[in-house]
Amino acid sequence: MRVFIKNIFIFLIILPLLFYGISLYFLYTGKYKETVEGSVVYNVIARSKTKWKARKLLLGDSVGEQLFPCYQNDETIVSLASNESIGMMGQYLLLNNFINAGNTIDTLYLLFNPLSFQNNMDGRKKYQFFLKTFYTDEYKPLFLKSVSNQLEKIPYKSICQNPCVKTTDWVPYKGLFNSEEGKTSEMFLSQVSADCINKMKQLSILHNFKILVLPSPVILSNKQRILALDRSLIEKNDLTSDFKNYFKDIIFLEKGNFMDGYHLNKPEDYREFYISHLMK
Amino acid sequence: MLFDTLGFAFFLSVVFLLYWFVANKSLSNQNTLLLVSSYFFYSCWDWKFLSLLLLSTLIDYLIGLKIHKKENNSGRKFWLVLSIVINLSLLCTFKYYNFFISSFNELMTALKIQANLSTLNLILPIGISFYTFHGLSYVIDIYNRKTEPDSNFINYAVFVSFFPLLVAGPIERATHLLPQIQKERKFDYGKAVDGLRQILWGLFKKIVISNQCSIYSNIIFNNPSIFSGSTLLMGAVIFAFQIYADFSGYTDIALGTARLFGIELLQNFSSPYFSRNLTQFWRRWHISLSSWFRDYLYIPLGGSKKGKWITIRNTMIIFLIGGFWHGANWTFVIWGFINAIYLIPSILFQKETFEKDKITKLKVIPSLSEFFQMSRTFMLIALVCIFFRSQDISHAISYFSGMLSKSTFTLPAIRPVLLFFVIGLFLIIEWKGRDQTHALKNFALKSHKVLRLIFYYSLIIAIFLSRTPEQKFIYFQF
Repeated sequence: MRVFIKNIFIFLIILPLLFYGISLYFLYTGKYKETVEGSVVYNVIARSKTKWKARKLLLGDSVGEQLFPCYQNDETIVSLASNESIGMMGQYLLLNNFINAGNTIDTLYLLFNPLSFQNNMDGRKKYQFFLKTFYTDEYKPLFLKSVSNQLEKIPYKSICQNPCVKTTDWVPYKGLFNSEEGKTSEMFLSQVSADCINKMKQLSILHNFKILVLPSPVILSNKQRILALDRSLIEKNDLTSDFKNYFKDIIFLEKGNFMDGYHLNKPEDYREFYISHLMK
Repeated sequence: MLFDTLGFAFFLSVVFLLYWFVANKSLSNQNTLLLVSSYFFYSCWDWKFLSLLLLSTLIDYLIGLKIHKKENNSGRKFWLVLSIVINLSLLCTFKYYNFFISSFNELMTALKIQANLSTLNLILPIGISFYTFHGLSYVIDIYNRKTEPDSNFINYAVFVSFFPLLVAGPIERATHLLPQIQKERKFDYGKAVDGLRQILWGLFKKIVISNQCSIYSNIIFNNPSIFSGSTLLMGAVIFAFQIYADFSGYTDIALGTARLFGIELLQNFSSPYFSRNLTQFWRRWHISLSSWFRDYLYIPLGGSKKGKWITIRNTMIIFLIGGFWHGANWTFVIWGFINAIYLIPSILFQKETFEKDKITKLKVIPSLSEFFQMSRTFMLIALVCIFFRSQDISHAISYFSGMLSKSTFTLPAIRPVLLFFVIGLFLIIEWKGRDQTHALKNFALKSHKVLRLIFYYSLIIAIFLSRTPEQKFIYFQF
């Protein structure tokens, strides 16, 4: 029995060293950025630090990314659309990077599903998509107070940059979170989203560009729910003019047009419509 | 608490150390520890259903004693029927009530009769299909005088709720497991190491094969209408590997864990995808459930001794019930029905029905004809698995109709080359260990210790690199 315990101990003691070595290899070669679940976010971070000719910038969630893929280069629009889980805070940080890289913006498009603004920055998905990608010394000073308060609710935040965590898809056990998504249930807009949009507006005034908030297509069965969402925070945060046409512009489509109720089967069918109608 | 989480690793380490260092002075202490830790393990899923597990255990324990005490057959039969009624009522209420009600409502609507029976907001207690069958087999075996009841409640409760098998089997028999619980257990170094090897292989199957397959099968199955026939066919093949790696991976972890405590559980899989025909496949897939149905349903119905047509009827019955056992959905019933249809030719022509089960014994590689037979069997199983994976019948039909098109002869839109490479390596190791209780039992044992260690560490690294946010084992839903 004691021999068994001893052998197991010796066998296991090598494992952390092995894991750590592999993780360091992935970290320093940057290979993890292509293999982890949040790879799309690393891609848009890299793109946000690049100098572009185009003067139109698009930020968005994963449906926005379907419509304007962030792996394609467009002469007129730079798409940094990635995933809803980075929240408006993540979108603001991308915008900030984009400006700091010396890019000039004429129009900033915010292309989001109506349920993406509920993001409350405390769900389990934030660990994968936001903490591992943005919770670094580079970005922490830019976090809004309200966002930092929400991030405090996320467990094991302090180890998110550990090589073994950062280079894999590990996230803390779901029972430790309030929810998987971290959303403000029936509110259209969370306070943190509102704060971040206002922060983007400040940048727009400073750098002289306009912001256009656009909706992505929505499944018809969600129509009642979306129209019934509490929009009181829009007015309260002085965002009425920004969302003036948002609800009017929502395209409701039949179930057959979606893969999973959110993502489009054939996004390319709608891209032209967005460019010629909504993005004018 | 999933088997492939750090939480379970911690739980297992603590119970293991307590079992062999603190509770090792007496059998009673060891069994009490196993029972307490099993109930703790179950409570981690949902403590509210612990009372249901306890109630079910208590009822079968008392009925087992009653049957044993009764001398006359009518008295014994009464208690047997009572146990069957109670067990099946519990199972039907939690698992099938809503299904029956909604099916009835749909039928009435089709007949233009107004019937709005309301469904209940019931959650399926995890493991209920498994522990109900444990209890039933115990009572039936006592009735048939194949075993005697254990007067010690703790022993019996451990038999029903031993944590490695509590939530997804294998479905144990009192004649096999109970004597091991009643007997003193000594630590065996060889068995414990072998248990760890089996756990490692189970984790590899679950995390490296099954979880990675699920990424592709989910994309394809969630939206069959947008993919070509060839992609859908590939999706079916990937799902067939996923379900095997998932369930047999779970079983390997369960068997390996039990072996750490000196307990041998029933083998549940025996390289089913190397079967050369479907009869062979069903002797090698979910063996504990197949043999349960064989012993408690198929043979009492007459088995294969009363002519071909009775054999076909009995086969149909056990496959339909077997399908239904998997879940309250018509897709499972159709899955069972097609599997029964598959077997009819071999019943009618008595082809290889009694064939011994060794798969190309002693051969390094199969012959071309053996390979063809294995591929044919695998493809038949992969195709019927479409029903197993589909949400409803219309989903399965649209999946099949997508495959019946010219696009089946084009290149698939998704080409997971790395996944198929890993599946290839996995199959080579499974092939080498096809005659063993698990693939790693004798694998590389004759190699140098360093090489062996490198192999084990490679498996662990593959597991580490393939980790995705936790995914439940498929069979936990049953």
